Formats: sequence, C-alpha cells, structure tokens
Amino acid sequence: MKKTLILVSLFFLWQAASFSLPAFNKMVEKKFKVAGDCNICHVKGGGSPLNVYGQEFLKAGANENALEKIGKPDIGRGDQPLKTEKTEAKEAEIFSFEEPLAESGTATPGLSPPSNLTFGGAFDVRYLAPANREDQLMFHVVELVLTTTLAENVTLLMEQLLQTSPMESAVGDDHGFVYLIFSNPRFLPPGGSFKIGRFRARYGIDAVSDAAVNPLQTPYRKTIGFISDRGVEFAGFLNWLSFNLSIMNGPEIAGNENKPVFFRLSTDNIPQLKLGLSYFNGMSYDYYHGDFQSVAGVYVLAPKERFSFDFKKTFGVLDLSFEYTFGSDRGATFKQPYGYYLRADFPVGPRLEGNLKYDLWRYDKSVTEDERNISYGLTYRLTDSMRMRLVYSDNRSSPWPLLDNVLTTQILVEF
Amino acid sequence: MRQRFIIAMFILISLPGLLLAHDVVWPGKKLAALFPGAAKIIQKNITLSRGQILAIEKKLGVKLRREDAVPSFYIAYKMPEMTAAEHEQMMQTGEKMKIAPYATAWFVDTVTSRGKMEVGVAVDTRGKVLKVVVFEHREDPAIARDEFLNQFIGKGLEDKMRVDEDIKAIKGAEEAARALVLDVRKTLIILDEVFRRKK
Repeated sequence: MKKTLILVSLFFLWQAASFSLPAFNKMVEKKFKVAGDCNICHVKGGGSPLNVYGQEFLKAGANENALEKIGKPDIGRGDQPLKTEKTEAKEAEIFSFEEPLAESGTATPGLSPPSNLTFGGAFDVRYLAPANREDQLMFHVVELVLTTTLAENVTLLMEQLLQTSPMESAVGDDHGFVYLIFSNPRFLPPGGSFKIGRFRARYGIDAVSDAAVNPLQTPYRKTIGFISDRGVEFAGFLNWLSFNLSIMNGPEIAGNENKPVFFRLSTDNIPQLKLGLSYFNGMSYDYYHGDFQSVAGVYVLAPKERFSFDFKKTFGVLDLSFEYTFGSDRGATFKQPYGYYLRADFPVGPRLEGNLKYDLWRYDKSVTEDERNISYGLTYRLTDSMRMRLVYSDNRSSPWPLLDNVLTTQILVEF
Repeated sequence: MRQRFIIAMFILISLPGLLLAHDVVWPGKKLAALFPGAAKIIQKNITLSRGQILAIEKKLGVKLRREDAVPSFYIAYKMPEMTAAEHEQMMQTGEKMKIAPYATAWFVDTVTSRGKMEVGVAVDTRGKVLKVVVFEHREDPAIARDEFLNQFIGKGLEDKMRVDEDIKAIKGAEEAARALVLDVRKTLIILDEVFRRKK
C-alpha cells in the first residue's frame, strides 16, 4: 500500500513538473508576445538545468508577477544562455570603480602602497618695495605638499613651508600644516567630515577667498589675531545650510588653557551668491592698532568675541566680496572694535584680472585713527599653474611707516 | 626682530592646500548635488602614468593640465536593486545587503576669458554621463541651469558633442559651452583610461 502511494505521488509530481513548463511558456508568450520556447528558461530544452533567466524567474516566485519583475527574456542568441534585463545591465557596465587600476596608473586602495602618495607644491616669490625705505625686501618660499588616502574615508595632508629666503623664517605662524580628514563619520549628518591636526580655521570671507596666496589679504589677522592652529573641525550640511565648528588649541603663551572656538554657518544655494555668518570666542593675541601688544617681550592675550557677516556675489564678470565684523576685546582695556572689508575682482583682458580691496578696522575713534588698507592689484595668469601679480598697498594709519605704501610683485608657480 | 615680525604679519604667506589638485576639504554638499541618495561616497586619488597622459591627450586632442594628471575621483555606492522576492529571500537567509559602486565624479576647474568655472561631472558604470553641475562661474547664469546641462546626460565616449549641433549653447556663452564639452569629454576619456573593465 505504502509503495503504491509513493508511486502514485511520484507519478503526479512528474506530471505536475512536465505540464508546468508549458504553462510557464504560455505565461511568457502571453506576457511578452514572444514564441514560447523551453530554452527561455533551460540550458538545453525542458528538463535540463535552468539558465540565468530561469533561475531569476524561479527566485522571483515563478508566476506572472515574477515575469513583471525580471523583465522580458533576451531571445535569439542561439545556444547562448538567456539573460535577464538585470544581467544585461551588468554586462553593459564598461567601468569598474572597485578596481581603478589600469596598466601603470596608480590608485589609493589601502594603507600601504607608496603609489598612494601625491606630491605637489608651490614657489611663491614676493618682492616688496616699501616707499619709506631705501632697500627692498625679497621673500620667497617653497611649499611642499603631500596628500595620501590612508583608508577608504581618511585623507592625510601634510604641508611644509621651506625656508629659502632670510626673512621667511618669521613668516607668520603658518610654517606648516598637517591634518587628517575623516569623511562621512557616523556622528555627523551624511556628507559631513571631521578634521584633526593643524589647519586654518574657516572664518569670515577668508573661508571663500584665495587669501592665502594673495597679497590682498582678508581681515582675518586683524579680526582674530591668529590664523592657523592645532585643533579639530566638524563640517557638514543640513539641506541648504553648511556648518563648520572648530575647536582650537589657542596661542601657546604660558598659562593659556583657553580653547578658542570658531563657528560658521554658510550657504551657496542661491546661484552665484555665497553667504556666511561666523562667530569666534576665545583668547587671542591682543592686536591693537596694527600692532601685537606685549609685556617684557612676551605677547599678551585678550579674551575676544567676534561676529562676522560675509558674502561673495558674482555680477556678470565682477566678483564682489564683503565682510562686516564686530565684537569685543576684554584685555587690559575694554574695546568694541568693528570693521569691514570690500573686494572686487574683474577681468581686464585676456588672462588679466584687476583686483581692488578696501578694509577698515576701528577700535576707538577718540584714541586712535582708523586702520585702513587700500590695495590695487593686477593678476596675470601666464599658464594654468603660473601667475604674476602686482599689488600696491596703501596702509593708512599704520604704526609702522615702513608699511605705509608698499609695492609687491609676486610670482606664484604651482607644481 | 620686532620689525621682522610685523613685516612677516604683513606678508603672511600661507598656502594651506589651495594649490592642490586633490581636494583638501570634503566636498560633501557638492557630492550630494551630483549623487542624491547615494548610500556611501569614497574618494580615490589617482596619479596618471606618462603613458596614460599621452593616450588621453591623443584622444582628447588637447594637452592635459597639471592638475588633471592627479585627479581625485569620488565613487558613489548605492543599495542593490532587488525584487520583493529577492529581498524576502535575503531576509530569510540573513544575508547582508551589499552596496555597490554605481558612478564616479570629479571636479574640473576651467578658465574661460570671463574667469574660472568649477564643474562637477558624474559618470555611471556604463560610461554615460549621469549629471553635470556648474558650481562657480562668471558666465551667463543659464549655463548652470538644468535646461542646458541636461543635454549632457546619457552622453558617452561614442557620442559627438558638437556645440550648436549636438549641444545647444546659450547665446553669448558659446565659449563656456565649448569648455563644458571639453570637461565632459575629458572626464569620459580619463575614466576610460583608468576604470575600464579588463576583458
């Protein structure tokens, strides 16, 4: 009895199997208006193993909905295995972004290979001719930059200014930078980044200008007192609003434990307009009327608070930049300085650009004169990587007559 | 010494990364415009070999710029497209969903007679242009609008992109249109040289 039941069951199973295939065939015929064929789903006729299309069909549920999901079979390739639209799409892929190596090109897949390193640099020569001084000054620096991707989302940048001219040993506090950028960290909104190391914090119009390589400086130094420092930066965006929060180490003066904070909100969602609001709070050099205050040869610090509004707008061929800053200094004397900055860049000929800048910084009108700077510049782009610039700066009310009127010639070569 | 310090303050030479071809800030917002909805984006810095540069220049018909030889590519990943049945099967087996790279993009700076133009070009694994975005420019504002830029979508290496024949330029911004065509062609040719699947 048991044997009979098993035989009957096997018979029905065989029947079901043999008749189900034409049913599937009909389904395909009806759905795609093509002639039914066992080879649509099988490698070599009914009963042979399923081809890719057959496997996809089975996986998707082996019914009419499955046909809807996997799409029309590719018929007419003789004994070639039939494919789904998906496998065809895969075959249409001509690029593989997971294996970016082609012949001798180098890529950055991991931690170790030296091919991962990218070198760059710049040679910046500035020849200064102060009106109130007989001799002239020549500065030149070479900057070497190295970048490498240490891991999928970790980039390292190292930059060093090399001492190539005597004066350059005192070129600000920007002798070098080194920092790591972690992109898309989990603790920030998607698209964000985290930076750690020594870098230039993003503040005011400086954040969207070429200030670092241009003698037409932004008011960053006057406004804050220092430009680069060690610290961490959190950057990201929420819809149209970008944010940067930097917590820095602060100037290294004995006893200074303060950690200055830079915070910036900005947007560039309006075509050809960049808007920004910046805030600074922390101890910084007591910069006052063009000079850094000191006691017994040691620079003194003052608690500062700054608020800035900046924009950069393109009007046709004219780039206009503006910053307005105000705040308070709670040093030896309480001050409420404020100032503004205005710059225009415009083409004046093929490869030639004109630059105009005016900035004013005011502490206390009754005690000091305003600190003002007017600069006129011409920038000529010799090649994509070489620029020549001529800048005349008129520093009115500077306590350093040497710098009242200075003509600067600059040659900048990137390599 | 003090005078030196003050002069140094005035000079203030500092070049933190502005000169680098590889980006030193994470361009998260720009990438979001090029790859809306990407599950993950990673950066890959490439250094083209001399042979590759020559091959690219031959195909392109113009010399590559210094920074073009060390491009930073941003590779976007997405969740795999799957049927409900496949998804269900995956849930049952406990298999993890693997995201896959579907496109890459880079940022090209082009200088026209009106100034610098910053362009982002995204290309998918089929070698077709997915999106072009103009981030900064001094051209006619229409050059950055989708009505103009969408003309590039779907274009591949085999497509001709002749200005005013295949790509309709904005009146008065023909130079910018030609620059954009060059940027797109350059992107496709460099990608072809670097990422083409080995047969």
